Formats: sequence, structure tokens, C-alpha cells
Amino acid sequence: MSVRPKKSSNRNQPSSNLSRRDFMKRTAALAAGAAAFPAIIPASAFGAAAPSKRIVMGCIGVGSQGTGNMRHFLRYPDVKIVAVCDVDAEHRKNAKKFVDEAYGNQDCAEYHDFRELLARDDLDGVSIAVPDHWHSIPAIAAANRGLDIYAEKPLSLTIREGRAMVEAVRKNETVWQTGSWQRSQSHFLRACELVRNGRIGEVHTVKVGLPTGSAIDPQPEMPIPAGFDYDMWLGPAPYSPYTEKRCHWNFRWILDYSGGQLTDWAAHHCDIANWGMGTEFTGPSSVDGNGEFPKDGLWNTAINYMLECKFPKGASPVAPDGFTMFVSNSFPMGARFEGSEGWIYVDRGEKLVTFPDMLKTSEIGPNETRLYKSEDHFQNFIDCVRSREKTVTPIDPAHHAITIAHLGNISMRLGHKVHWDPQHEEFVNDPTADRLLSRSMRGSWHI
Amino acid sequence: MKKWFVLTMVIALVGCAHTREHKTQKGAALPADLQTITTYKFGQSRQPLNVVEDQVREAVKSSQASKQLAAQLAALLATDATPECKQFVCRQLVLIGTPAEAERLAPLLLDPGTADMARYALEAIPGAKVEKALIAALDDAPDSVKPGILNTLGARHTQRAAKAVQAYTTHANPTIADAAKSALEQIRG
Repeated sequence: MSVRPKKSSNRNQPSSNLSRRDFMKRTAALAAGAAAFPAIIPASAFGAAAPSKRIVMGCIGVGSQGTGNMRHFLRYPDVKIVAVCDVDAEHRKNAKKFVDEAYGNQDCAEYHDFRELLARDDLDGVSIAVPDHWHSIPAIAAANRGLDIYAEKPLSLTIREGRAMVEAVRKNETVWQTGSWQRSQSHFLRACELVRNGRIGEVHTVKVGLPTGSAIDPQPEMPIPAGFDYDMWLGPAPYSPYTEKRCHWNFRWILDYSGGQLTDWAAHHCDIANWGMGTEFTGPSSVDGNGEFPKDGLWNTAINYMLECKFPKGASPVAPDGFTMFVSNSFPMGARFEGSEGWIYVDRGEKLVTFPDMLKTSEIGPNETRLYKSEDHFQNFIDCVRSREKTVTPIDPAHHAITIAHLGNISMRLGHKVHWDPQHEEFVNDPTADRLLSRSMRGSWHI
Repeated sequence: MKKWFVLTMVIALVGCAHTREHKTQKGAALPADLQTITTYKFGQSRQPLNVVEDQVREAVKSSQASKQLAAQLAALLATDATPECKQFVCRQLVLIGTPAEAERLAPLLLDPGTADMARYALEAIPGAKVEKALIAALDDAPDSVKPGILNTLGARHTQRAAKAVQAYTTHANPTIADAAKSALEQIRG
């Protein structure tokens, strides 16, 4: 049932058949050449039939988060949204109305099935904001279709799905931006650059604070609301009867669809922790998870949790002896880096606290490590679609950040510490844990 | 007279329902905790399920305990336990199922109402016996179930299934052919 990948077959076609995406790629190449050999390229050189310079996008999933992202994209004059897709007719209609009002026309197309949206031949990219259990299938299909992708976090439902997404993006040279937008805030960048440049000495501990989970009573089966395609909403997840508190925002609290507050927020703060530590392309060698789960009711993700993640020697350039990352709802929200000469705490709301205090004003010298600077997460994606450069939050770091949370959930489920080989993405001598690397998909869905 | 007959029958049936024990096919009584979950339906308290989940978590530590509990759980698949109970069982077999449970799971592959839950367990359980059960079910399963079985064979990278899967790549049903091609890609790596 999944989309048969229609590979970007027009990449090697004559210029008269240039797709919009090819056009942008070649324009980027020209721009790079222009930087090396300064020259003025007149607009006419692109030809009268040159595609519009606007990036044409579709939005898959237009619930609360997806609509928020869509509204962001609408603010950029060089983006044009031409289609929206959702399995909930109300979401879909509201999104179309919003887009049409923004453009002053009735042109925005509505789709109930993402495969129909992806079949359009005028798209350059898609914004994907669907429940976690739906992340991999449309993302891989879009990448195989040759589209660039702005996708919501957390990257995946399982480690294997995440890996498949990484491979699809790599194979298709997709420009990928994860919705872990904290990287586009200057104080997070600043905190990470201070850590990376040894301002707190050798780091031994990172404490990542995330929110506490919730429980709810058992819920009755309810009639499926009109206009809501519940079977499609479930998609690859196991069948369960409809009840209101299962769907939309609440999917996060049910393990069939997500990993709870742990995965929802690890995609932000573990990502920042990895960014600061330079461990964005590797992972811990062991994770010991302890958690408290709801004793009853519909929701079954962890309420309280503490993960102890050991990163070995050599994993981080600022922790030569290795370090421990603790991930828990018992810490203040955010990331706190603790080193031999001080600590740095960073969170939303411009919170950047250091010890000693003077670290805050410490200059990063010209020969020191500078991290990727983005001041606007959406603009960064748009710029990268044109330049074909990597975004500030490409897919690999997103995969490694969420893998920490997945390992934690697996450890908690098994009730024992798990040992992990981050290079091969396999558990060490733990065949039971290996069984939880992926999940069977319902019906004919597959990646 | 008729009224008394009906009343007697109702009392007898209620009595049977109260005393009925879910038994394995060999007739052995189930442990009480497992007995409790056989009537679980969505919307009810999940506490009895949580008790069994805790037992599974504990059983993971011991191969023998794991095998024993897996066999007891799988036995429920052949009873009149509720579909919700059977789905729960399949979820537990993801962790502790052994090739021996393939025998109990295989018949579920042939029924569109239970095939997904059977695959949910089988996809995670290693072993040639599981692979053979999946391949054997491929021909017998209704068309609506075939793509799922093909996907599971692909996800497991089942080399021995390559020939059987190949045969479905030209199936008249495009969903089946599509699943077969995708599975073959995964098998051939």
C-alpha cells in the first residue's frame, strides 16, 4: 500500500525538462561557481520558461503542530503551499481555508491520502507533521519521490525506522530539516559552542531534563467521528478501537504510536546535549532505564523515568574519559553540562546560566570550533533547498538523539540495562532487546 | 412449565460461564493470572494485563521461565479468549516467543481478523521454524493478508523465502506484487 517510489527520473533529462528541484540544484551549482569566479549571471540566462523561484510545498498532517508549521511557511514569500493533506476532514478544511485566505484564492488542493499529494508533479518539498507512528512511511516515500522535507520530531517510532529514513534521505540527497528548532536559537548555539570549546573543561556529566508523563482512566470505545478516517490514522499501528483520548495530540502517551514525554522532548534536549558534546553521529554504549508507568488506563508511556546513558572514551571531543548523560523528568527542563571547570545550563526562554558566570561573555576565537548558525529554522530549510547544503538539524543527528530515548524505553520495558553498539546499531549480546528494534506494520503498510 | 425450563437453562448457563476455565488444547488448566486476562475487553481495567506484563518482564531473565510462560500464553490463542486478550498475548510473544510458538501463531495468519496480530509476534521471533510457517501461510492466506506476510518476510530478510516471494512479484493484485517486490529488495539486501 505504500507509495512505489518514483525516483527523481528527470535529473538527467535535457534542460527543457528541468524540474523545479533540478533547477534549484543547478542554480545552486551556478552560484557556487560564481563565488569562485565572480561573474554576473543575468536573469535572462535562466530562460523565459524558467520555473518560478518559489519553492512549491505540500503539507502532510495539518493538525495543531502541522498547521503551526504551515503558518510559518506561509510567512515566507519565496514559498508557495499548494496542497494540504490530513485524515481528519476538519483539519484539512481548516488548513485549506487558511492557505486560501493567505493567498487570496481558492487554489489550495486538499488530500486525504498522502500518496495522492506526493503524486503531484509540481512539488519541491513537503512539510510532514503526523503522529510518530506515521513518520517513516510518508518521509521515505517523499524522499524517494525526490522531494525535500521539513519533518516534525521525534524522528521515528523505532530505531530501525529511523535508520531506514536516514538511508532514504542519504540515497536521494534529500534536504532534510527536523523540527528540533532549538538549534536555531542563539543561546542554545552559544551554550553548545562554549561546551565544545572546553570552557567548562572536560565534561563528565550531562543532565537532560524532560517533562513528566500522565495517566488516564480506561476509556470506552466511541463512535468514530464523521470525517475522520480512523483506519488511516492507525495506519501501520496495531488495530485498537476508537476512543477520543487515543488520537490527535494524545497519541504521544500511547506506546503504539509514540514514546511519551521521553521521546517527544528528547528530540529537543537530547539533541542539544548531543550538539554540545559532539556526539551527534554516535551514541551511548549502554543505557540503564528505570521508570514508573501508569498502573491502569489507556495511556501507557512512562510517567517518571531516569535513564543513565554511558558514552565511552572517544565518543566526545570534550570528554576524553567518556561521560554519562542522565535523562529524566526529575531535572529542570533543558540541558546541563557539567565539567571539570564549571557547568552550563540551557533551556528555552533564553535561559543560559553558567558557572563561573563570566563564561557567558567568553569570546569564541577565530581558530576555535564554530557550530552551524541558523537564526530561523524555517528560513534555514528554505535556504538549504536552494543551496543544497545541509540544514542545521539534518537527519543523522535527529536519528541519534531519538535513539537515546528509544534505548531508554527498551531498557525500561525489559527491566534491565542494555548495551549498545552505536556503530552497527545493534544490542550487544541481548537478543531480546534486538526484537524491539523494529515493529511489524499492520496490513500492507511497509517502509 | 416452559417458564421453569427456561429459568433452569439460564441458571445452568450462568453457572457454566462462571466456572468455565480456559484450557489448553491438551486440557491443562491455565495459571490464575492468565485465566483472568482471557475475558479482557477494551475499556476495562488493564491491571490484570499489567500483572502478566510484569511476569513477562521477569521471565525474560530466565530462558526456562521465558519458554514456559510463552507456551502458556500461546495456548490462549487456541481458546475462545477475547480478541483483545489474543492481541495482548501476541504483544508479549514479541519478547518471549520461541519457534515453538510458531505452531500456535501460524493458523492465525490465515484469518484476516487475526493475521496482523500473529505477524506482530512472528516478525520478532527468530528461527527457521517461524520462517517456514510464514512461507507456508503465503499460499494459503487470503489475498488481503498476503501483502502483510510478504512484508514480514522482507523485514526479516528471510533468504529462504526469496523464491516464494519472487513468484508474487507478478501477481495480478498490484498491492501483492508491490509488497513482493519490496520484500525481495529487502531480502536481497
